[in-house]
Amino acid sequence: MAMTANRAGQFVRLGETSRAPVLIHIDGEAVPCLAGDTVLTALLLHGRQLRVSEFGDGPRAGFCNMGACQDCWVSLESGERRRACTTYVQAGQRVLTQERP
Amino acid sequence: MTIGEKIVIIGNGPAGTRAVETLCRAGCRDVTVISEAPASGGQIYRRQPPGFTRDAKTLYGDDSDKASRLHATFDALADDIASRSETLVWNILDQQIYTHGPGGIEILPFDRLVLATGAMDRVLPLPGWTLPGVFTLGGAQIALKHQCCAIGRAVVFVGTGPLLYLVAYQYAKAGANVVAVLDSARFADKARALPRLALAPRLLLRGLVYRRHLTQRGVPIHEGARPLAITGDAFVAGLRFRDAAGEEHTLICDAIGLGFGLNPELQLAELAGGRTVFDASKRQWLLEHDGEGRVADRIYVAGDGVAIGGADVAELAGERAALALLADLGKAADRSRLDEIGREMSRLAAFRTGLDRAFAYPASWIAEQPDETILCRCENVTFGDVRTAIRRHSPQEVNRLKALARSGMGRCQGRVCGAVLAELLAATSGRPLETVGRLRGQAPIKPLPYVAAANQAATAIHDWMTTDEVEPVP
Amino acid sequence: MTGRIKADVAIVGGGISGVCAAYYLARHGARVVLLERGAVGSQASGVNFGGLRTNGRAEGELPLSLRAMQEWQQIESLVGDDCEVEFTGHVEICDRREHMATVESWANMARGYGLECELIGGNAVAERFPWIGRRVIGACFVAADGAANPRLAVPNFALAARKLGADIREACPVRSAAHDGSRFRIEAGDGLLVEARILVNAAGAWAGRIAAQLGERFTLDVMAPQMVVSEPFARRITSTVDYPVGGRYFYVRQVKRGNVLFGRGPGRADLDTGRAQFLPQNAFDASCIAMDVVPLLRGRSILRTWSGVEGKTPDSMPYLGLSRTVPNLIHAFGFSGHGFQLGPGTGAVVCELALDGRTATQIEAFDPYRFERATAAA
Repeated sequence: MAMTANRAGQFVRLGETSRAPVLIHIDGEAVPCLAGDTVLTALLLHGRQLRVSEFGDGPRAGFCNMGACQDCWVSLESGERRRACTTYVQAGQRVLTQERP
Repeated sequence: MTIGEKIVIIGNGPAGTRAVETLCRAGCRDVTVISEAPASGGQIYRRQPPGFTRDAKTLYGDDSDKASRLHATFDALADDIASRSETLVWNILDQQIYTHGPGGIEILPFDRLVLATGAMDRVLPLPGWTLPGVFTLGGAQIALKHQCCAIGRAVVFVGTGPLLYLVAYQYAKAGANVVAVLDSARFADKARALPRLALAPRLLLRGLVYRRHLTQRGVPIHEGARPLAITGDAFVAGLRFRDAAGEEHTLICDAIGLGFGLNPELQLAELAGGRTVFDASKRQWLLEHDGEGRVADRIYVAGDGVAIGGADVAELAGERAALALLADLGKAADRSRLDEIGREMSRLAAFRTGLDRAFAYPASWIAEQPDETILCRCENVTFGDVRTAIRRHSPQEVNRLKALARSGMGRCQGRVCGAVLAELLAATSGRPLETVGRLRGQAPIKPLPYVAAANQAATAIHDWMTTDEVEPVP
Repeated sequence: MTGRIKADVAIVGGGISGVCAAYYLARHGARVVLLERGAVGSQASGVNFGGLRTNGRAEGELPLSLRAMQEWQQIESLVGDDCEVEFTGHVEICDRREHMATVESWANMARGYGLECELIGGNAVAERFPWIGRRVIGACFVAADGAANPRLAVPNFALAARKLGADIREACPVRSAAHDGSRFRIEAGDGLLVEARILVNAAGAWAGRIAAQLGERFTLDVMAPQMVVSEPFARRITSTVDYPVGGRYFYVRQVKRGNVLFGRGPGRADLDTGRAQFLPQNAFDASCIAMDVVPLLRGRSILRTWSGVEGKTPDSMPYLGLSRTVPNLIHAFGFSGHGFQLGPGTGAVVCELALDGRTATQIEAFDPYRFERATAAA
């Protein structure tokens, strides 16, 4: 089920908004972010999940945010995988959040 | 005086930075520093990405001077060391470390190794803790410090420990909406710990300042509070808890920062031959060392990756481990400095026991978790699943329980659930926690891409797979 | 644990051979004590690939293997747990003519034992196993082969054995074993004395030491199987695949939960500590093979590696049979990395040897004294 564009995200920006813009795609939708955002931050500013638990636990959105818990792995459209909290956004990234891995 | 031994340091937080500094100052010329993060500072003094403009005071508050000095120290050494950032060390074997970074896998031999691998949050599962919107206290702090974001529009901080108050305070100060702070520790526990806490008066005062700031902003602080369940369907919608008087309440919120202290990351030290020792007062396994950071032949350790001590202790431990290393290389030991460090660390260790007493990990809640609560979030194994395995097989120790119930077999390798699994086994079988052991570290300590591994195959294998001898399909 | 136990049969070693022997003996009403130095199934029996394979097995092992397979097919009724057993088939793929010829002749031999196997051509392989990335000229597919979870198998057999009355002692290493003319006396653990008429030496890599205590010498080396497991993801690898590279087999399968498992040794093991080390080069080599044979693994990550301690004989066939020099001593060790599937068969055979002095299953190839005979004949 695709997320609608005006659905509130999980995270809230508190500042630092004068950074260079970066355009990525999330579930096929073009989403502007800022250079220096991690993929986790970008995905959770836009929506409220990173992936679907492969063992039936439903949506997940990371946990430790520091590369330890391994809960934030996301799939790119190319099939590659990225740990969202330790990967920074790059122009052209095409990330999926609804996939069962 | 040049020292040519090949020294590798893993981690460049407070402990790693001071170790590097001490070694370089003494003349070590072949020092390689490896860190997973893109920049130095560790977690507590994590640096913001390029393009961010907040100053040190905003980022690090009362610790801004320490943070700036630490960063400057590391930066000044840049030309004297080889640095590998965004690089994971995933194995240690036969005096070599195995790394994976932007350029692929590297196998680096070393003469001496310093491990400063830090810690991660200590968790306690409760119903709903895997919902989107639940983060560790450390994770919530990183969202703020490293990304200038709050984890939600209405955040509740739950758990115990000094970090609970620090992160809540930082959020409130940054303008985030902090709905409440729930501390499992009771006021009485903190009062009893006061004599020890007073050994570090400035740190004690800071904690009180954070609390007062929160209270002044109208953030309710519930002590002796017991979180019962995080509610919500696809994401956090609320938190049900019981207050110290026994009354149940529900808070509306959309994000939770959850944490009950910290757990040292011991996996690399274990792979390198380090041994662990159980600390009953902390209910944790710590690295066993000789009092100066020596943990195995040519291997030294420092910082929160040994035992939780905080950033100041980590800096001292990093310096001390480096001095021990230098002494082992034949350099005259700076005994007066070592003694000074020892005295300071003793004082801070005593303070730390006060923190342990004031903010004890509420282990008894683990046995009381309902069967449906998830224990291992990687593999979606519930408390009920684990209890069933324990009842059926009566495993004697936690690695066997992992094999039977799958808890700890997931991507995080038991980092998050391992200690909880041990507590549940101990409680269910009525045995002391120490006797059930801890999950054994295995390589790779974090997931390692197959493609990277494949690039390291022996030539003969590459040749076999690409030979023209292969027959065409008839 | 101090004490004195009298039993009909004492078993040294809590791997799959010993534990299955305990199970079948207990089922037949014998009083059994099993002594294990660590936890049951913690060495080779718990760290192997989990393959339930007849495909490609040496001819001498086929009778035992087929007997064992019948037990695996009823595992849930035997031990009350399915041990994640599934029969998803095993395919050995060939991209070299010489190998294909070997496989064809194996298939012809195996059919003589009643084993059903299919020889298929390269196109059929591509059609039926589209996830195999390698061009092949053909393959041998055994549909009735499968796999189990080795970490569940031995603990569940041990539980079932205990329920039938077997006394299984863990954390109880054997200190000494001797025969006093009428029975075996075994000292184990902290002052435990076991007296039994029959002794089964199922001590795996340590069996040579046990045998030596009783005056017998067998050639037994230590080996360490090396396993690599992936993160879980949607299952697409539907059968086990076997593919020899440079003379050593690479084998891979994907479990129902989605983890992909493959193995390639050799590793490094220490008999005294009971520890085995995973040597990373094995993971590198095996990953290179895997990228080619099952390319859907690209983009995925290794989660964990492990190893264990196993005993290996000069011809990689086990020692299974009655001792010639010590009365009522049965040897059952040296499975050289492929004893897991044989386990229930081994246990049943040991039970027959113990209670009847003989077995109907062909075990000549496992004669513990075959190397002496060869030397004598030379």
